[in-house]
Amino acid sequence: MIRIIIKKREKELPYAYSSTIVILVSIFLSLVVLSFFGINPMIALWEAFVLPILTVYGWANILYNGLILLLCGVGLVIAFKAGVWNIGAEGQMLMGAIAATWVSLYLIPKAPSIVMIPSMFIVGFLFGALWGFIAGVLKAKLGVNEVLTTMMLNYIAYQIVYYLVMGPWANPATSYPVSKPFPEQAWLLSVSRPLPVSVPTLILALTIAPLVHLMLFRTKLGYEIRAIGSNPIAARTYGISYAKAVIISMLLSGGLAGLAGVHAVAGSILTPQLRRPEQVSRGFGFVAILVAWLSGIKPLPVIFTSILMGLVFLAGFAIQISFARGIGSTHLFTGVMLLILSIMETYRRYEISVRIHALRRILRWF
Amino acid sequence: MNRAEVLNRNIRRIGVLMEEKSRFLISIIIVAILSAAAGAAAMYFALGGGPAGAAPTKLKAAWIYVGPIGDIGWTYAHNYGRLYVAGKFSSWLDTTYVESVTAADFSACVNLLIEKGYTIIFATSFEFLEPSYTAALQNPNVLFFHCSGWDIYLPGAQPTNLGFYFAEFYQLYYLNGLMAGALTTSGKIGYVAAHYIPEVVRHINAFALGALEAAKYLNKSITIYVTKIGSWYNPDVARSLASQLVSNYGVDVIAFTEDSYAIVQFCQEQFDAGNPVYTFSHYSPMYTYGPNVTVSGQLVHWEVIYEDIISKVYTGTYNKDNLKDKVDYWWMLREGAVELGADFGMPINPNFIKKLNTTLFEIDEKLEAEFKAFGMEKAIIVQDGKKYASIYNLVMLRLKEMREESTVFDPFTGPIYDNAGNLRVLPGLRLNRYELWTMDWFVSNIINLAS
Repeated sequence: MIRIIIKKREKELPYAYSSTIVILVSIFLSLVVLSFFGINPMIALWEAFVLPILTVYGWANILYNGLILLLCGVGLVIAFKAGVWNIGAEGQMLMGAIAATWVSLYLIPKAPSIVMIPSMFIVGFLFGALWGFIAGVLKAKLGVNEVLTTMMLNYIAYQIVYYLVMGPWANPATSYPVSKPFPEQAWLLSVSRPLPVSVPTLILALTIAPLVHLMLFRTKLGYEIRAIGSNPIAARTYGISYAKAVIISMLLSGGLAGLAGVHAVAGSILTPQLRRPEQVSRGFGFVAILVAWLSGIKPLPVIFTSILMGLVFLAGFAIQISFARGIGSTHLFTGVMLLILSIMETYRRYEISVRIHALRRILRWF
Repeated sequence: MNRAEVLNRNIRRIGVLMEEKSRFLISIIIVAILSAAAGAAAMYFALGGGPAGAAPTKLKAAWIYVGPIGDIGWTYAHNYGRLYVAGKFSSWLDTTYVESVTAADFSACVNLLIEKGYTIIFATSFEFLEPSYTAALQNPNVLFFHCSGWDIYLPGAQPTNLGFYFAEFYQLYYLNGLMAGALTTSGKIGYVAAHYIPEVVRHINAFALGALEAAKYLNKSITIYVTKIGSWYNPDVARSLASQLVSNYGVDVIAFTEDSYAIVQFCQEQFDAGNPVYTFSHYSPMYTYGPNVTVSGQLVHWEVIYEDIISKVYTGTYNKDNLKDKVDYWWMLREGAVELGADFGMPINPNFIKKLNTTLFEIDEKLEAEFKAFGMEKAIIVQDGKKYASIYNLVMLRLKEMREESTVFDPFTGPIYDNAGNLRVLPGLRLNRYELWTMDWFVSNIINLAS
């Protein structure tokens, strides 16, 4: 008889501990899998995770992708802390991208960078927040499941972008579905020269993560959000407004994803312009969920986990190049990471031990 | 202490160990990874993988794909070409690829490739045009070959180390159109497009011209319903658009531009359900996904172009200073870069040959002369003093004509009217390449459902 004993831990393992293990174990297991395909895991480790970070272009890519994940991830942390499962970062990002296009091409196309860039981010925040707000209000006032609404709002945002680039905002100079290029004052990389990464977004993201940390852990609002998230019934008994916590957390969550959307279009190494939705959000709104979980639902570690995930994506390309093994290598890394993360989430909270009694009984015969 | 007690004690120890096991295992794994990381660096240089260790004699070529190589369409065909040259030139050529790359990640991939010593880069998507241009300017010693682009689309002057290539399908679309026009019974033909960019519009028009020519010979009235997906690869949308064309518009032949076999599968299902809808292979052989419905199709031989480019780079004919002037491939039937077929070596699915062979039309003197000029006298059937030929033989004649060294026949020869009734190509004139590359109008009898 095998007996598996699962006991709730008196003290949960710290996230720092479990996330480190998730990252290390998933890299280890991915390399083991790769070695079955005749790839030397040692060389793979070097080529995938070390070589890319030795180049400027490597960092440009890691940070461009990483900042999208950072802003989305910090936003998701707020929602997850309130116990709201926002899986709509993808759509909220697209709304931010729409805002950036609208501001730079139609609202104030002549404005200088100093006005243009803050306006893009502010309107991007508002558009993203609106998308979060819709799901937040529906949950708070009508009890509609936010997983469904945020997911469906993703598709709506997707179709809006399609409609815009193929219809009213289509660039007349090309028959490809893209908007006109943004005016140069709106290019985040052109104000960041000579650095190959968007400095405005970098500053914004590195300010927002600590601010969100302070908001969540040092203010009354943050306390209310966390209280609603951990025990809504008890929190309500203490007079904390459920609706307020849910709506505000979704507003902020969506707004931050909106900022990521602004960065995704205006901070791109390509000519900033609104493109087909899958070229703008690229599924990063979903990857951000993994980033937020890896951080242990805390804003500051997101800085680390988002950059790490940016590296994982580049590492996937590097493996493809070195071993001609295809996109499977990228999916392998992220998939194994998600799997181990789910396993560790249980292990973090429960003590698990396995006892093989049959073995004991068999051994007793000797 | 007897034996049993000793054992029992040991077993208890094992039990304790087991509870401690998880933590112990994790520590082991951490140590293993850290030592692996340290070892990796050492091994990497020991095995000569470092920057200095790259073999200097081999050419290194890389392909950057927009989709997955398993799409059985566009990317699959490019990768087939890569494998072909990799095998053929294995003594002096190394190749690799990166798949499912978005334009935003293109430059990072290029830099990783250059880091690994690759000096020839094939960018196989229209979407990579702008990043290829930027990368070519930034890396003047690397040769960039962009598939489907042209200098008129570039944001600035063409760098000397950037060349273009394309295997053009419009001749094959025209031939497919002839067959579609002969096979339709409802007189309604569908086309599911990826985007309305000039390349696709040209293909839609060539297909429509073929269908209309068949209609003229066979006294049919034909309408072509065109709709678009907005994406190169989206099997779900392709399928649902095909299904709408069939159920809402009564279409019984569908051509498409989409990088999967979703529509072929859909048509086969329609056939199995007793409502045959015919279609064509696109880019790669799709016959096996719809043996009863795939009439013919347009197949590509990228390997012909890749072989030519790579061998000319090897001999030094192409270098970083002359791609702008020398490399602008626009290869078709004559160069063998494209093939008419449901499958390689199967120009027309045997299930349809009989039907196409018995679909006769009256030919005029001009066609009679063409048949004779190409050694197809047997194709001319004389009945009651009138001369007839079959659509099958017309397709074969056009195929021969378009393989000729000099242009004997081109589908885009006037008079051609657009669908608003304007005369777009004067009688006897032929569209030139610039006009074909910027085409933004549909020929007559096309109804654009996506407008």
